Amino acid sequence: MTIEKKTAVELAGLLAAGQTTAAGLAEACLRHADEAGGFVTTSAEAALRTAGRVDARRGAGEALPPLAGVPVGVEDSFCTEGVLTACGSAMLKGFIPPYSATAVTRLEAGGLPLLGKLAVGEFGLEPDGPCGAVLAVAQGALPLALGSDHDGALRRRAGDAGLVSLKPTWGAISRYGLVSAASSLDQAAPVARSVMDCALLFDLLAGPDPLDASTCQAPHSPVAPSLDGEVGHLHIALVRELQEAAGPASAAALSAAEALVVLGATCREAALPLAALGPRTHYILASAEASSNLARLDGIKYGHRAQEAEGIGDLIAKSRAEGFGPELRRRTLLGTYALLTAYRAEYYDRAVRLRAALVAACDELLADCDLLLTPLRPAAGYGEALDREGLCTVLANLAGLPALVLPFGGGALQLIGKRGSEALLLNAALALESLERRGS
Amino acid sequence: MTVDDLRKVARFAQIDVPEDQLAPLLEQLAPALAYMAGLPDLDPVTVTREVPCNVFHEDVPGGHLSQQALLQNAPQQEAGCILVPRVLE
Repeated sequence: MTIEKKTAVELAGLLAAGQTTAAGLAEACLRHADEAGGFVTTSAEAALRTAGRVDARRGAGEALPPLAGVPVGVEDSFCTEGVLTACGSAMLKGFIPPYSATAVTRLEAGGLPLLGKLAVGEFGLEPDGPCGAVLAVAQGALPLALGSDHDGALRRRAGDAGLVSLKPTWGAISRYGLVSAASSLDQAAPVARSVMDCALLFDLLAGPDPLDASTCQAPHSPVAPSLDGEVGHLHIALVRELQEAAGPASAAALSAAEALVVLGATCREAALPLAALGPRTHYILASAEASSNLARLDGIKYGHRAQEAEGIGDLIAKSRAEGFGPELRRRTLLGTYALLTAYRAEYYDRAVRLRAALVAACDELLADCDLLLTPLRPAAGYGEALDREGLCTVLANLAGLPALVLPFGGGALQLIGKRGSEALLLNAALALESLERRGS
Repeated sequence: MTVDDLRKVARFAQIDVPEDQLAPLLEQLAPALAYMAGLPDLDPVTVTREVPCNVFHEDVPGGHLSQQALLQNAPQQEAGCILVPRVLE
């Protein structure tokens, strides 16, 4: 059976109808994994065990969770008990976690066979690092993947590949066992072939976790059952500065705005002048947080240890110098510098104030509308290189807002909502996806 | 940032940078430092969203990882302990 283009919902339908088995799907995906790329480790045995259990339960007539039996992969930044987790770094080469991330245990509880770990740039901080979650889904080796999103690179790559990715509200999904790099910006994020797939994966993963005190404390109400694509009541704003920065690259967002208006939504333009400073703010905060978070990697308890050193201080410094790649060494040094007492006011404190101002500005915009509609990235000639990639996507990370990218009109666009408004976001995306499918 | 600053930063960051690599590394860092320095200073603003706060839990005894599990990734171990270079002379 060809599964390369099928959504998770379609595969779940085939499973429910008895037209395939979870074991059959897992085997088909595993056969395709090497050729498709994106995997750093496969866990065939464990996946087939999970699949076998799901098939047995289905065979016994048991009611199963919606995605039970649908294969999934997780980025190599999530701890998986007994399975290598290196987070793209030589510093963690050979590391086998003694526990699993909460997101991973929830995938297992939902009956999704975990086929393996997906490539990621070193601790997610390499700008051009691999993005296995997008590659494996785009190439048809998986219908669903779970990645992490601290700056929107996952969303941008997903948008480029014609996929859907949802970065939920910060705290919606537990980060327990997600290797910390920039904790206040990181969030687990589904990648899928359809909006409904994203919604179902989000429903499975979201909710409080006693192991992560930063998760939202209110129980999660599933959003997928409420999605109907009705957008007549929605008020949408296009962010002027991002539209202008994108120029012709804003075509998808503009045509989506027109389409939503035809469906009854209202759309206006709104200003967010501070948006231009988002990437710079993000760069400082992410570097500072990474330098602090990654201090735990010392070559003592786990990870790479230098062979030759004089004393424990030298051992730690040499282990880190050898284990971290060039970009991570740079970011760690820059982050440490930004946090030094002598320079903190000039760098870190300024970035914290800028972030607070950006949060306030986004909250003010979203007080007058339901969703922001933006392009995915600015035009090729926009600003400095470091400003360019993240201009449209880091806002949601800095402000802890949910954001979703989806293909539309031959390009891709981003929707940003209020904290906790994933249902609205997914519903608007579902309306656009329906239009896109009818048009294609 | 001067070479002296970088030497100090590397010590705080616990990253070994040999003396002859300080100047070339500083050159590599220069564009990023200039980028970071371009952030304007803002007056503190009132943030209306809920600020993060401490979350407290009851102190309840729970399960824990075994010694074997905790040691399985240690680069060097001996007699059930993680082996490190001498700390006290």
